[in-house]
Amino acid sequence: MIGENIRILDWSVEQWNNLYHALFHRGKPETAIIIIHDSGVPLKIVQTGQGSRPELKGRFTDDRQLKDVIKAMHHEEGVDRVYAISYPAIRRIFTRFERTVDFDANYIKQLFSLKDAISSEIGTGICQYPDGLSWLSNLEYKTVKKIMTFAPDDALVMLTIFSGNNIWTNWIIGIEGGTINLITTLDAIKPGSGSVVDWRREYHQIAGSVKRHFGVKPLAFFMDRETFRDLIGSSDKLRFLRDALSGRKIMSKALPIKYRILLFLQRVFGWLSGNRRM
Amino acid sequence: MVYASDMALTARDGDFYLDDERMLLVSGSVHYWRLERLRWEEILDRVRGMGFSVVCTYIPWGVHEISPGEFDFGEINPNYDLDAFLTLCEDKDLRVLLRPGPHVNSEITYFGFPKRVLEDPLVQSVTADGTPVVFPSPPRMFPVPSYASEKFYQEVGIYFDRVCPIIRDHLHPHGCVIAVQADNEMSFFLRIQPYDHDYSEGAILLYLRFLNEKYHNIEQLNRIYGTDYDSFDKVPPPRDFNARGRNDLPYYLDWIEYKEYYLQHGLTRISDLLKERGITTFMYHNLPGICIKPPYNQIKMEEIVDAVGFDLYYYKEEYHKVKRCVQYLNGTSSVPFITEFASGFVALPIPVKPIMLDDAEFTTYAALMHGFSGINFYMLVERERWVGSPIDRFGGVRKDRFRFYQRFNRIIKRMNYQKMRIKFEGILLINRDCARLELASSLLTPIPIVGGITHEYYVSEDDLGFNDVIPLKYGLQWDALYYGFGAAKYAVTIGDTELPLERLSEYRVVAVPTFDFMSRDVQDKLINYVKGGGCLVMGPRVPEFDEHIREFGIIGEYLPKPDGRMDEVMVEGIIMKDVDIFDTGVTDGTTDGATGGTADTVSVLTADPGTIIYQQKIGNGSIIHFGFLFPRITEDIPAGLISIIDRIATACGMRRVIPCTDPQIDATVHIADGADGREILFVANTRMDEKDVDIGGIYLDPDSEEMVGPMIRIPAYTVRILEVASHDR
Repeated sequence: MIGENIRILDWSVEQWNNLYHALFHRGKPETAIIIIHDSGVPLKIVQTGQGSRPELKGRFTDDRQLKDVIKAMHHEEGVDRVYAISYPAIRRIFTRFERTVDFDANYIKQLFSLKDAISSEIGTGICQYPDGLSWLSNLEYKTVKKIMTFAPDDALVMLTIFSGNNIWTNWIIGIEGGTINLITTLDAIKPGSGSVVDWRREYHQIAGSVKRHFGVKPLAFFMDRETFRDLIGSSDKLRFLRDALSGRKIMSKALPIKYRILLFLQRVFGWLSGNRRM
Repeated sequence: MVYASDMALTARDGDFYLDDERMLLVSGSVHYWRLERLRWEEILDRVRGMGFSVVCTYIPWGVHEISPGEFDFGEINPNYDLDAFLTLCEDKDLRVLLRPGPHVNSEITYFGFPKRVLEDPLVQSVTADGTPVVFPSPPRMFPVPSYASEKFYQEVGIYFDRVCPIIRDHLHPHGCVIAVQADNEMSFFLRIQPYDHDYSEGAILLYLRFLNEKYHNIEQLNRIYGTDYDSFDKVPPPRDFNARGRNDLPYYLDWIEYKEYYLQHGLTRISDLLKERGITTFMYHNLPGICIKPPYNQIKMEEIVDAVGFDLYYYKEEYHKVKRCVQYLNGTSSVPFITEFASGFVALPIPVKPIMLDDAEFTTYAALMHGFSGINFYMLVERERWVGSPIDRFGGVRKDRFRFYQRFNRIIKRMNYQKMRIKFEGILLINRDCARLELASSLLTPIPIVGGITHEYYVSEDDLGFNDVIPLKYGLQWDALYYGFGAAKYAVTIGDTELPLERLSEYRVVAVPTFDFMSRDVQDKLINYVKGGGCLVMGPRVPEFDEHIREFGIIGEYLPKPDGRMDEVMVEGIIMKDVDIFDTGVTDGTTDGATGGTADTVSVLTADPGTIIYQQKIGNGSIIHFGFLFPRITEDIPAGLISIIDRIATACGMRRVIPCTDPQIDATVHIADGADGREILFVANTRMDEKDVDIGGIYLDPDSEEMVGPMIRIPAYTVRILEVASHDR
């Protein structure tokens, strides 16, 4: 997971800004109405960007269920989402989280304590329309932990994304004993290095310079911005990744042999079935 | 042991003085323990190369402590040799601001506290529900300490016993250290919701002590609260806002005042621990961001240390946050000091946009235009978990950033910024009584008030028997005045009703949103300000009650009562709500009963069906009272608001800084002291569109050395700095 004394250094802030915008700044910001209530009696109603909306309290009557009210509000007010949060539930979430969090556990596990506290209120203390929080309830720490066990141990994982032949964003993650203990970039090797002549030919050299600096051959992935954007937007990211590797839209170094064999076989079968591009 | 006191750095009349010479304190942060010792010299040379002569560093307790009572200050890890670092600074003729904590944050796991200290239940803060208080920062969440814990201070004392001798060895005049910061960002670890924490045993005892100091005897408290407690220790601290009417409020308002007292207590304890160990230099503290409302009381905190500043980390789109912070410091502090200002950004795997160079380029000059006496750039040198600074941790330069700070230092030197004083005609006060009620009425405990959460998200909407829903409306009225005066280009700074009368009397105009209740001493202060010749702008309501919600309305004795109230009135295209209408028939100059002064009431703004803003002469001054609620005003300021503010300003005798009233543009004027007489105009374009601006005269552009004006072009997110040549058009 994330090491207690993880080293985080030598980031290029421009590259980090690019990654941030690629991951978190896609599309228009969501608009929402948030209702704080106590047993269905609204205490506050706030709309993002507009402030307090006390006039909406009149929508709540004795003969209407909360879930019906927020559904109607969503349609009538034209917001992306309506949340109804019980006032006592806010306290319950924090209390449960702070009673259960393990201060010696890794950060991901600690976050799951918070997630579990929030999930315990979904559908009761926290209602939302349209529904969109059930995934949170279904996400379990053991699932994430299992995914992390697939990560190579005592290794470096590198992701480099190009815009043309300029490095648009680059990340080097160090994993030791199943724990991420390093997050850095190529700035650690050569501050300000940002471009190559032809990345599809030179990616080997980039991986090689990382190996020489850190003493470990990185498991490295290289792609262009458009491919990264499509990967982020894909609903089946594993499949997209596999296909992109197979189709050489994503280049890799030091992929474990079994995965290279699988990709090779995929290309062969694809060729045999009529797709001649290898 | 008595230690000699010889402060190199002092503060006088809003300025820093170093060895009695007035100076602009400009420093930048360098963290010695995170850099290779062999690179220190080269890095400090680079810092000097940008034009800095003062550096600042934390001293992280949790890094230096190997085991309880055992520390490594270079004996094991040479990078930790604080003494060597300070000696090197002296060799380089660099002055140093030291920040020994105990809290340092700086993205260190556990914020610089040793883990074993935080794990001690006797040290931990406690929520209202009896749990530890979790700070969720990666890479490890941790329980925060209580600043009411005696065990905590014992532990801090042991650490200070070890570090203070090193600091003492390097204090001015024999060393480079000219100031020490006591603790860091004292703020309940940003969990400032009123009923969140600290409910530990020590904190409750502190609360009872606060009540005792305030009321002296339990009978007095019972009279105010309407209770019948036998003793102070029977008074339970509030754990939620359950007021049903205004008479329930003193209990909750006291709780908020106690939260301010708690922070002051913590600051006192830490600064005393340092002073007891011979740290007798200039001492200061830093608050995190816009800390102009409870539980922060910057004015009271400056009675404990020599200066209290703010830490500013804002994007270019957040101009008004920069402005509010710097203006508040200007209006309240003994010496406006921006204790941290963004240079680079925290490097943690969190979904927060980094502050980029173009953000810093605009916000740095935005801060400059609003006037400070000191600024510390955080950070000048990158280190682990901090990137985007002008110098990387290997001593290399990031050219664009490096040049930016070189240029900045050249500009402030060229304009002799320390000799300039920003000119204000008016001051807009935070109404501390209303701000306390705003926080007290929170319904969102314990969700932290961070990011985009404004008071509208969390305050109660119960009017509690007052004329208005004060917790909701107060902030909106303040914003309307703030944005209105700003867009109309009147030179108005920001202050606090906590300020003494002498400070208020420096301004021609004092503006403050007022409602049904206001502390007695504040009402007295304001009426004395007016009688002394000042112009008080207030509204919508005239206070009838004091802080104990007992009848007290001295201001109201001088003012006419409204004739009636309208639900809403359209004025200059804006809908005003709950509008009091006044009859301002001209009097014959007869004496009013309360004071013997002349009672002249003049209409300032009328609407159908009557006067809604009037001016009442009182003694040598006057009160301008607006009797309505402004609507919600944001940065998109309607022209009608500017028109209304113009009416008020004209009645007060104020003049615009520049003719332009575009709300996207802002302007300030700085005037040099003494015979110099130079005037410098700062004009900011606060948004993303280029603008042509009427600056009202001909100015010298020192960059191009050309005369410009009265129309100039300002690119997006840019501050232009011009020297006055002529006000002739």
